[in-house]
Amino acid sequence: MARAPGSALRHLFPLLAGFLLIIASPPAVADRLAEILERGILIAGVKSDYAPFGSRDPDGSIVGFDVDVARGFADRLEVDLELVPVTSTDRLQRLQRGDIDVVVATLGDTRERRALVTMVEPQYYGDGANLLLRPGSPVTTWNDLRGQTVCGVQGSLWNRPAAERLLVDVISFNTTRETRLALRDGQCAGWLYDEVALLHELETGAWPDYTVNLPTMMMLPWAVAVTKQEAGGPLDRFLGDTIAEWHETGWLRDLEQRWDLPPSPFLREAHELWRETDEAGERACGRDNTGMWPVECRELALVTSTEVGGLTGLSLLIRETTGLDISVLHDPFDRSLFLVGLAQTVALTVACTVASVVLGIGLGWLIHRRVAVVRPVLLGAAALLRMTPPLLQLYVVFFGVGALLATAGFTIDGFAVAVLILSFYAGSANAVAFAEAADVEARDEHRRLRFNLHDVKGAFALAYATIMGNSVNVVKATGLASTIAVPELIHASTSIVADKGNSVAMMNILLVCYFALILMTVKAFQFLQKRAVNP
Amino acid sequence: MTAAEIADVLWTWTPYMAAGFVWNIVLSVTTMAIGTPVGLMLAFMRASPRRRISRSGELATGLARNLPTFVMLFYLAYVLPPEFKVLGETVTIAPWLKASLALAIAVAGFVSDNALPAIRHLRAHDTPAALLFVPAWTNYFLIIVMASSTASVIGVPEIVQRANTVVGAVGNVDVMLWVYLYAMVWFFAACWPLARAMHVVRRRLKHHADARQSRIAGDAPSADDGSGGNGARATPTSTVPAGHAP
Repeated sequence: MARAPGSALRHLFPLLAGFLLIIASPPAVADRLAEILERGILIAGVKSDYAPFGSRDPDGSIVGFDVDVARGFADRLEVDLELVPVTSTDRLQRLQRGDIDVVVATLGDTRERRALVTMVEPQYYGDGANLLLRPGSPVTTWNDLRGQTVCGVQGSLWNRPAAERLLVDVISFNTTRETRLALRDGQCAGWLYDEVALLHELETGAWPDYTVNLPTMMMLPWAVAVTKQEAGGPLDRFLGDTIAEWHETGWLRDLEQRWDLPPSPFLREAHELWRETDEAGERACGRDNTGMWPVECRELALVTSTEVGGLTGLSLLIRETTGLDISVLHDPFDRSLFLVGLAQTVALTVACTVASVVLGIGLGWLIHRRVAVVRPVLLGAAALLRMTPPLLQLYVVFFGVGALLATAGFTIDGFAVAVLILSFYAGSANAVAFAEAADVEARDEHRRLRFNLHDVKGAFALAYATIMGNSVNVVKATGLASTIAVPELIHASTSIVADKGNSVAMMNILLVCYFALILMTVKAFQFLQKRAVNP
Repeated sequence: MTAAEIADVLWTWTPYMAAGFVWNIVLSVTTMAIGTPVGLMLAFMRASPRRRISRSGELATGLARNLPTFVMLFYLAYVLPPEFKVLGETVTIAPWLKASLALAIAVAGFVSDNALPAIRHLRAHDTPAALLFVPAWTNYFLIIVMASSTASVIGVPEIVQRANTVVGAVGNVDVMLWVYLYAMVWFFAACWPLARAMHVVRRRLKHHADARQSRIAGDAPSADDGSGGNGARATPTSTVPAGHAP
């Protein structure tokens, strides 16, 4: 059976391709407003980790500025409100897939995002980027940051311009919670994020001696979003009219005060703009006969987070003919993100495989020789590792132990933590396999094995197929490192999807890459077996 | 924070985290319920004398064995629409069900590889050897319980996701390590006793099977050790089967 994976895998690619085609069909289209009224529930995607816009209160329900905005819409429609927690990474995908009717989730309005969804005009809030700096930081201007590492939240708008224009190294975490922990653990010089959120963080008192004192970078309006198909439709118009009225009456500014937000220049200006009346006493900003707002009432200077790169013909052709946006081919930023991800995954695989084989032989030998105390301790530790999820082990070491070390002035590296945990994960399995193989070898040869090249090699050869299988397990598990911000393949792919919305293309590329990696791991083991282990 | 304060926080959040662990169990049971029949079907296909059927069973098993479920989790979460229209009826797929589907792929691969020798043993009327499938399957269930924690990354409110929420809500760094360790205790306390029990069951069955083997075939060693898959030798029930990590 050791032959099976390699030979079977080669025939699996067509099967895989067929499977992918079946699974990747787009959702249906309908009049969303009618649907909402019919079901009597407005489903809104809001943040749950972004106080005071959307966060959990002690009894677990989500509250905040954005939640009140969503509730304002539901009240007007006289329907119930259902809140779905979303993150910066998945909010647009969930909207596109139809999980939610509207996004009210601190969403900055940019040209790129407008290619994916409909941004309701007028926008309901506005904010720029800033940096929460560690105590005693020497940074006083954005340019001081060049070459330094900053923490970001995956899917946040500022990561890319910061990396491209300020030449900083952004490590991005899945949620603000993890970013907070990383900043506290000293993983980075500061936390790059929306200014209003950082100011709120400071106010909570959780960050003594931290500062937010750089000039605001890239002011940007926030919009409520609906799907692309709803552009100009009843839902888009209803939301836009409601927000316009809220600007006119100053309701949003009252709400801002109620949530203790610093007075936003955006809301002040919007209030003045939408309050203006013409000679007839009508609101100056009214929809024209095509349903559009007049140009002077619209925000036109939207920042762009993408710089147009050299497009390759093939990638464009694919996009034109199939709608698949393979941005890793034509966008230099995405390409380097992806290649770094690939390199990181390969490096993780190699490091974990080598370490787990070494651990397997070393610990396996101790188990085989039934060394007093050591054997029960090892077997107990292995049981503990096996009966707890590797994901939690990563969290415990990276965040838990990381926090303890941070108080002593040390920082730990995500890559090293991932290699440590995954090596023990596969290493304990290798140890058991090696010990059993050594037992069998000793029994067959009716003698005690010695720790020399011949005997170790004999047991290793016997356990070889199992060790190969365990190494395949490691390749599969490397993706877990994405949860502690190691920029490997999954992390790179979800970052690109958050920016470009090309989930179908990226997920298929990701799957094919992993499949190829597993195939290559098996091939490498088979090659070594022919050359070195069983020549 | 003193030990008493930490214990108090953990105690306060215990019902919340316990409800999360129920999700882990529900998710894992569903995963086995989806993956096992599919895997059995693949195994029967592979055991078929008709070459085309056995070949396709072989291919599908290879696919299931080599697709990393953590990647499939993202794949299904991002690509699969939450609603299907089937014959005018709307079928919804909740995130936890997507997680189950992703994990069920690994289960199908595992079951296919382990049921195949069991089927052969059954056909040879070697019941104890065939029954070895039961502890192996149960141990794989435990591995799936461990893997169910990965559903937290697509927002399923299971125990790890809830541990994250607790860490966020308490907002105290000192308590974080303990919250995660506490979540680990839940997994260990629920799974370790079952793993021990299966270890004993396996040893008894193995003993019966070996005894029967030697009665029938003298001292000739068994050619098929029931491992299948990427591993050549019997996979110990204690670790993740070689090549079959979810």
